[in-house]
Amino acid sequence: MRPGFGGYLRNALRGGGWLLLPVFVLLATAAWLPKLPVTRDAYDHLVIFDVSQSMNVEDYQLDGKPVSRLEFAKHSVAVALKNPKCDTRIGWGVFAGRKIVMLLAPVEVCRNYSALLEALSGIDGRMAFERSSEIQEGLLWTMINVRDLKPLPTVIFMTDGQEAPPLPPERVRNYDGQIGEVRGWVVGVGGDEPRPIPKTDTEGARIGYWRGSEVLQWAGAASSTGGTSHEHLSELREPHLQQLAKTVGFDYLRLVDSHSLDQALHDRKLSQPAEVETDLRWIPGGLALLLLAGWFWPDWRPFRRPAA
Amino acid sequence: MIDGAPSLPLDFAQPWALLLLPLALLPLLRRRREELTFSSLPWLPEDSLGRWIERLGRAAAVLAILATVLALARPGRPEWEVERIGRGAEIVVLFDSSLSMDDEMVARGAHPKRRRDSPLRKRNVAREALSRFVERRKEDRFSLLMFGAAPFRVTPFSQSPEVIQAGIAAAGISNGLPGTDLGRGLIAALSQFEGRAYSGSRVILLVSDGAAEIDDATRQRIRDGMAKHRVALDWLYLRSANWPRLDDEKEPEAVGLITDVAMHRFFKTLPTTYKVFEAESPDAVSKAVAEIERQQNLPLEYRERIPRRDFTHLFYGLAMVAAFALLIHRGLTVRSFQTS
Repeated sequence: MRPGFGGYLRNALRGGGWLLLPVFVLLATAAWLPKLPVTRDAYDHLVIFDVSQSMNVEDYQLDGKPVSRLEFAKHSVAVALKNPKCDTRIGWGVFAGRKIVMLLAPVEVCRNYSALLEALSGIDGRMAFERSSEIQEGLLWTMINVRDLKPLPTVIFMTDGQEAPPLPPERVRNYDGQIGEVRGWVVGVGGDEPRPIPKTDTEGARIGYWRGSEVLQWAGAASSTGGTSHEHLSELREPHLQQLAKTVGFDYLRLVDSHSLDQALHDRKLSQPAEVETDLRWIPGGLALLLLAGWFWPDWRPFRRPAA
Repeated sequence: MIDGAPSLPLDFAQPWALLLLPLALLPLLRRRREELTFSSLPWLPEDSLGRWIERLGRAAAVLAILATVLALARPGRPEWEVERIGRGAEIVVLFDSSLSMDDEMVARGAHPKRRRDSPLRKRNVAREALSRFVERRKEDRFSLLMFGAAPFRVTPFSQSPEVIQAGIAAAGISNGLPGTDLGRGLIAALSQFEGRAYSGSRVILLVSDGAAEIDDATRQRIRDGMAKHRVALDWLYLRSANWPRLDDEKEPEAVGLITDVAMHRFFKTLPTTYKVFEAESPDAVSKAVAEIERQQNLPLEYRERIPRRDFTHLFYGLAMVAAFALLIHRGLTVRSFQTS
């Protein structure tokens, strides 16, 4: 007797064959499932680079060659952006004098990675729009300026902490905003050994080094704000930066190698829930694979003996 | 930078999933529960059709697992670029970020206020018009610079409209900077064309309210650069309302627009095309931008970046078809002689 369609179907589903039905449905779901908005931890960073002349001191190494603090800071940002999840938005600005200039509002990293890298490479010491470098003022300005960005990003402030001219301790200001509203990290860039600061002209060309008599020195004992009697030399002024970070409620970290920034850029405290378009096809796809693999998994039972 | 066709036609967004590929061999292992009990094998007739059906079944199973694993690795064609001929231009937007750009656009005689969030603030007016301009001009290539006391290269010629828009958004947030070094700004803008093949139409779009002085040496460098790179200059001049036009013979100097007129006269001596678009209100700015848009419509050779194309769904579809084939196969084959 020739079985009808029903017979074929019953035959197909018998002996575990019905498992193919969920497999089929799961694969069909995976094939048609669009990206869905899922609420996840997302990051929105604004990186501020100090572009003052002391940032040209070459006390970092990259591929065995000395590179400047600014170059190394840019390099670490580029490294940290590699293989991003699509949950990070980043933008940047530069700091000189007592102000910041916002260059790029935060944009999503994974769609714009190469364009972001190209833009990052354009940041250099020629952008220093003033010769001085008043870091306390710059940081406090940042806290105000950043509020114009919606959504409010977190701030990564990268500097060597050298106030030029030196900041007298009595001019240390308090932050009058609300601590914790703007969150972020102060990132200390530079080495421990005082090094001469290259002098550059407006086109960024090196014209020797700053001499002791050309800069304002800090007379008297070493100050809490980092002032020294060798202001023509530069090293990372860490205690001053730690104090500044504390003032505005930021965390502090030192840029030691190109992975130091990971801690700041992926700090869970800085994340905020955001709806991210997420590819969820792997869920039905993975389940289908699990069923298929389970179904075809070899059973190591011995041969059934033919009935004698 | 990606050049030409991608070297590999396929790449994977989650390559680690490929570690699961050996799973595709599972159906090739013989399973005991599929053995049929038969008294004597030599009694069975030669059944080449049956053997083929059997092989097809295994192939379908292998294919189903293979395609699913590949789909989990998210295959796609990598991003690549193609040469296109379109209409448009390579536009360097040179945005004045000086303090006076924070003023409101007000009528002559009225005292301009500096309110941060005023919609009349020159900076905001220009920014919004620019943003819409970039939005509409999908075939143009944009590069963005700001200038104050120093030029700020925000982005080189970028393929990402999102990044250009982010730069324009940021230009509205910074505080005005002291100084208006237009000369260095223009030279920085010209340097954006350095090393780029000439592709048809190049423009520097200067967005400024004027009041910038350029010394003679710099003027000559600008003239040379404009000629060398064949760049036209469009000046979107954010003029205060009721103020005399730049070409007005007598009045401008009388009301203290000396530097603006000097800028205008210098630009007229440039070896390439120069046009000024004077705007004194947000409406006029929009109109001026529309006019610039109408004029910059020359054929332009450009590279279009074709974004990565995801093929994951095709692989799931293939796996689905294979699973269906497997189902049919099971319907046709005998798994036990003990039929009910």
